[in-house]
Amino acid sequence: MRICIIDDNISITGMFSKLLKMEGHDVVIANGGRAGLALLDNDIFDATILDISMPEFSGIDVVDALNKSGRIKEQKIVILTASSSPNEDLEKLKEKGVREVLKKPIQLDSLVATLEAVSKS
Amino acid sequence: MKIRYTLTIILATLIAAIGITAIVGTEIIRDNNFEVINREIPKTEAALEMEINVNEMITDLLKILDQKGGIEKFDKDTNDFLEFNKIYKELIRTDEERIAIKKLDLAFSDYVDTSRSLISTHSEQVDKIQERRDLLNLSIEEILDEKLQQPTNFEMKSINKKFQALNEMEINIHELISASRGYLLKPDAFLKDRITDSVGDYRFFENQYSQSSLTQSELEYFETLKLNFNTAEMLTHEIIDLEDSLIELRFKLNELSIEIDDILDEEIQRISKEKLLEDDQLSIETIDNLLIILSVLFIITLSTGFVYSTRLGKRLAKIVKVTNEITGGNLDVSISAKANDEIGDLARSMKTMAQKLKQGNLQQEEFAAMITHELKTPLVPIKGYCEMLLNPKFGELSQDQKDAVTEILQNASQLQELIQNVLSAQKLSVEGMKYSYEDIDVDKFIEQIFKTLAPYMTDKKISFTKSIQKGMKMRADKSKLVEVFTNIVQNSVDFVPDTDGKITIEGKLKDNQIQFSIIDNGIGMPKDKQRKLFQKFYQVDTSHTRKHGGSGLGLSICKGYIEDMHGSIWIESEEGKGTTIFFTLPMVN
Repeated sequence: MRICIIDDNISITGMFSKLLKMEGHDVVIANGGRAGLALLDNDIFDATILDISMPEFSGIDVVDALNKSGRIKEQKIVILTASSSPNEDLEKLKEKGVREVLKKPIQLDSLVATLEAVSKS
Repeated sequence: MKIRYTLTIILATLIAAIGITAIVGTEIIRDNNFEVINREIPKTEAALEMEINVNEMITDLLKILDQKGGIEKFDKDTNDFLEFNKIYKELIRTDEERIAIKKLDLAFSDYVDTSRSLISTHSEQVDKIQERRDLLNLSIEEILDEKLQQPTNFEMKSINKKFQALNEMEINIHELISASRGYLLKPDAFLKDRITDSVGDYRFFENQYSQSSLTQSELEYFETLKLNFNTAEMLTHEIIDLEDSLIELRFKLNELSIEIDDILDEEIQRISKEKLLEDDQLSIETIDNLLIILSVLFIITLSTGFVYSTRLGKRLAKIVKVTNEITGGNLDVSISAKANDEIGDLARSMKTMAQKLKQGNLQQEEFAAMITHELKTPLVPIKGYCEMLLNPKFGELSQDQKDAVTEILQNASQLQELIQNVLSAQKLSVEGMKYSYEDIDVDKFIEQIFKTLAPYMTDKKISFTKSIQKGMKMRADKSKLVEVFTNIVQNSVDFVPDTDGKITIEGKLKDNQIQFSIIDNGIGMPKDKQRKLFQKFYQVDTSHTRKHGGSGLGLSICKGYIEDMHGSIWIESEEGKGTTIFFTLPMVN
């Protein structure tokens, strides 16, 4: 799979990248919301890992932008969030077109499984 | 305006009103009386003066009659009477008084006219009496001057009839003289008789003498004597008549005085009575008016005070309501803080307090959110890399290395749990303050809960049933109630056996409350552990692993929620036989 990772935490993007490469997937990284959007505008990925809390341009902003440009359906977004918000908020995200919402910290094997499931859907 | 000022003003107004009414009232009464007195005293005094002067006039008259006083005093007293009469007339107000004073005037002028004519008659008569008296004295002198030419020899006198008669005549003349003189001094019936008798006797002996033989000179003398005696007798009679008519005068005057006295007395009595009645009338009227004014003022002030304090009470009640809302966790209450008094100050303080609390809550929430992110973020790569290290695709490790990495991973997981616990506790303590109550249909609610909790039963294939009494309604915070059910049911899920596990939710009406029971056929718990069950952080069995982040807070939080929602929660359990958790909630009609 070709996976896009959008997260401002270099440690995390580094780790995800190593993990996915280890499993034999291709990874493209963006360390900010705008950079990530630029990637998504110009390319199609099998799945995208999107972090919510990023400075300046958050994951939510990215989702809204994709909704505006209508590209939300083709980019299969998996949101990664550290917040333990009530389920309703996360449901709203799904209504906006996000495929899955995963909570940090996450078990790596379930992350990979989710990505595979999302990319096939 | 500040409350203490308003109340002071109301109280002061009331007291002032009462005070003023009292003062003004007494002033009015006094003034009325004063006015009355001012008018009445002179009038009464004038009347009394009139009476006094009439009495003086009576005395003056008597004095004049007794020749001890003069007409000047009588005239003076008459003038005084007329003066006071004038004053009196100026002060009278009613027609009755006018009629009465007319009567009085008539009577008085009658009296004065009669008195004056009587006085002049009297003085005439007195003059006449004086005249007669003088003449009488003269005649008596003449009689006495005459030598009676009597033989000096007493014996001779008694033998001769002629001389006897002459003697008798002499005696009677002396009688007449003394009786007349006496009568002049003091008119007396007895003296009158003596005069009459002596005249009679004299006449008898005069006749006798005249019948005896008389010489020429005796005859001459006898003629003179007879003449003088006749004059004296006439004068005496005239004097007696005059004196008699004077007595009659006195009598008439006396009657007149009594009459005028009576009229005056009547008048004065009438005046006094009228004055009293008038005074009474005025006082009663004044008092009535005062009472009305006082009552009205009293009612007004009382109503004002009542309305004001009712308003205060209502405003305070509003503030209490707001406070309760804040206690219940609703920090968005609207507080009307416009008033400029102490209650307004209170309202403003409450508003500030609510805002501060809200701020505080927000700060806590923000803090929690920040912490969540910051603390959790490093754990991702820590756990991630540990997992990757354990993955052979990432590279082979020696057993020792694998063990080491496993240790790291476990510790990271524990750290994660700890963070989660702390965050949960933090969140709950903030969330726990907010309650939004609803009237909840029990049947519908339990059905939803049932659906939500059903997934938990699949792993162990637990038999999940419910038995809810129909038509019940309860008052509770929905989301917190969901948490309570979830917590308890999850506990039961953990403790029921792997096969044939049974969990039942029951709900019925008991003692005017809704009573729920969550019954499981799990391992139960001993009595000593039952007591500690609802304590914070207490975990019955720490070795149990759970899907849900077990923090041991679950049941203590449930207890907190249930009790905050005016219910109670308790456990019945027997080791090996199962556990039932009961809790109650208020019913809604």
